[in-house]
Amino acid sequence: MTTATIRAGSPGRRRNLAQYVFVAPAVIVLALVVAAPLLYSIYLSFQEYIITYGMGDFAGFANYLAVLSDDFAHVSWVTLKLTVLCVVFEFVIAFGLALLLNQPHLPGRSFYLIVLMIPVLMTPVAVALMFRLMFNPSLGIVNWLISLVGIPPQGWFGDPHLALATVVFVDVWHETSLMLLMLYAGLKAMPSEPVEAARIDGASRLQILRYVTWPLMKPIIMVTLMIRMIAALKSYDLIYMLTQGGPGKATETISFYAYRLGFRFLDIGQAAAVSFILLIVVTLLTLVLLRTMREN
Amino acid sequence: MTRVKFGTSAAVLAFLAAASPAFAASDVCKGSDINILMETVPDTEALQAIKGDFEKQFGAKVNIEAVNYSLMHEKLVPSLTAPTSSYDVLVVDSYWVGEFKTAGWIKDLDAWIARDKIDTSLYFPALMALNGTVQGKTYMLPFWQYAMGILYRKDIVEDPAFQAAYKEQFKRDWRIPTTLEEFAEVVKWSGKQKDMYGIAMAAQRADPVVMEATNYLFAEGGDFYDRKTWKPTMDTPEATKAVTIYADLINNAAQPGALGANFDDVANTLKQGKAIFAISYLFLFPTLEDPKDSTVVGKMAFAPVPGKDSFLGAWGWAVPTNAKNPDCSWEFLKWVESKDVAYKRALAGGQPTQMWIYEDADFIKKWPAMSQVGAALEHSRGLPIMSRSTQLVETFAEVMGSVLANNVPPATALADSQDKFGRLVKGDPLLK
Repeated sequence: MTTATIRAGSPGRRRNLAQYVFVAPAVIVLALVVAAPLLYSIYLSFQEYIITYGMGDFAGFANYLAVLSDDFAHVSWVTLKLTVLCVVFEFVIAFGLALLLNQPHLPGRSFYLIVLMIPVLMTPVAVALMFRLMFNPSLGIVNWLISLVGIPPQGWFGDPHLALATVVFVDVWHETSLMLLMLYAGLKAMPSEPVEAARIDGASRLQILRYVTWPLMKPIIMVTLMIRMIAALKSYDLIYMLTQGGPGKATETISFYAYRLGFRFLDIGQAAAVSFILLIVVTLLTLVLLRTMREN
Repeated sequence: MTRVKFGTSAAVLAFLAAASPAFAASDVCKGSDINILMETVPDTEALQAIKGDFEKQFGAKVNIEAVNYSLMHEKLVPSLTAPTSSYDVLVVDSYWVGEFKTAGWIKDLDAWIARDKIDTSLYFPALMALNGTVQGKTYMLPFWQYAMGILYRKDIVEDPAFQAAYKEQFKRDWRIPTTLEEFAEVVKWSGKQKDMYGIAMAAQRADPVVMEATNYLFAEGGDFYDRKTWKPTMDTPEATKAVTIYADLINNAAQPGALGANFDDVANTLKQGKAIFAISYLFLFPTLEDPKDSTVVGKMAFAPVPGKDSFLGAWGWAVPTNAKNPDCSWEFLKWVESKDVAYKRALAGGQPTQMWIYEDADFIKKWPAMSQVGAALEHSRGLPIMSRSTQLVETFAEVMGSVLANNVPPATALADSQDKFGRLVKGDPLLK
């Protein structure tokens, strides 16, 4: 039966209606919780709205022009550096660990997996407080350890040349486990026959990795990288807890910039504008991810 | 007949007692919750220790949420813009006063003050001006003051060997520095002399660096604005000198990582005996004198910031306009600022705002550094009371950040900031 031949009251039409009825509650909730605030936020981005003074006049694109001409280039650059460094380091470490964990007959595999998952199970706040203490220039263990080999105490989060690298270190420690989980799951799901066949044909471990494992894992790797990249682009919680975007603006990301505009300058219009720009960037990346997944 | 007369008198007395304010106050608060957001400082601990007295007397529950300062403003703003506040009593930092008043977030207390005959002349006039009245109306009762000055190791500077070396270097007898330039010289020399950090500094973005650096600005006679015309005055030689000296000390005398440090880090650096000087808060003294984790108990002293003025900050109790039970909130304010309770808090390590407490011998004996508060308040001033003073702090923090982290020359950074400071006062109803 084609769609054209479905008549009113027919079982096919009743089934279509039923489908809409069942998804309606979820759509309504989604509309209220996601769509409505999003649309209101977009509306605010075109208004002059400083909380202290209340809602002002229609601002047109003035908020967008103001944020783009101010610090946006700098915070975008910091965000890009943070994202690339975090994703690259996390991927290299996670993939290496996943390959090691995937070795056949590895004793204690479950134990290693549990230990390696601990970082990602900790909340960002707990992680940040822990590392803030460890990297405390006067009281922290890291400066004490490096002093044992004659290196003078470093400022870490308080040094404009080291702050971003230190934040990257903390992020890598925290988030590598998540990538490990996704890549390890991908390796486990990979068919074993091509690997066995390559082994029988005399391929070395490196050749197996390059010509068998890597091509088969590409879709998983793509998805993992994109998911992590989207999250890294929105980095905020570690920045807030560790450096407040400082020293100066050395670690200020786009998300933190939006927070500062909204919660420190109380300029909701400009904060909404920055958030919308970030949304567009993340949406474009998500579309790339979806297209890549479809192609593979 | 006598029994009837006595019974009638007793009934009248009981009726009068029932009609008294104390009985009415208990009714107002009975069964209520008083939620307060406070900073993690000794004054909060002092209040935590005695809040049970209010709970017993008024039949209410007092819930204190103590957080780091950096979290407070952003937790308060959503609460104050909501139909009903999450917090029943507010503690308002001195540079939020203008913002909260303009936004209509805090209640005018004058009617209550007149009704209950509250004597606000008990408070230091400087503190009432900072955290009490705005445009002639009373919005707060001053809670605690955070006078700032030099915290220094008296055991080091009073050591005869140190003083002899000082005399040889500077060709004069030891004295507490009288100007900011002299302070910087002495700090840098002292650090090298004793192989310690000359000074512990808190240059973290935004509140820590601004609170500290504003002392330098005011000490040099600079200011953010001409407070009559509200024209920005950050491109003056005084401002440039202040910022230059600050940057010099960060680079040449402060502990490593000072750009990421706040006042807790300054306190820890001093407590571990690693620094000789700091320009910081008098309220750090209780923690510096705590034998549980301080190695400098009995070794610290306080002196006013050298130069013209120091920075003065304070907190005030207020009632949010969207409080669930504003009458009960007011009862809490009256109780917590009653002489008895204010004195108890002071003895427990608080920073009182009522003048008479600083004349109490027992209080001064317990906290000798508090004898300096009068002098500190005399030569101090706060940030301007304006609607966007929170943003003034952010803007000055940006200036300091560009100088300290990006090595922009102070004169350039300050000149570039004039326009931003100017925009902050445009159309401000508090400055007309």
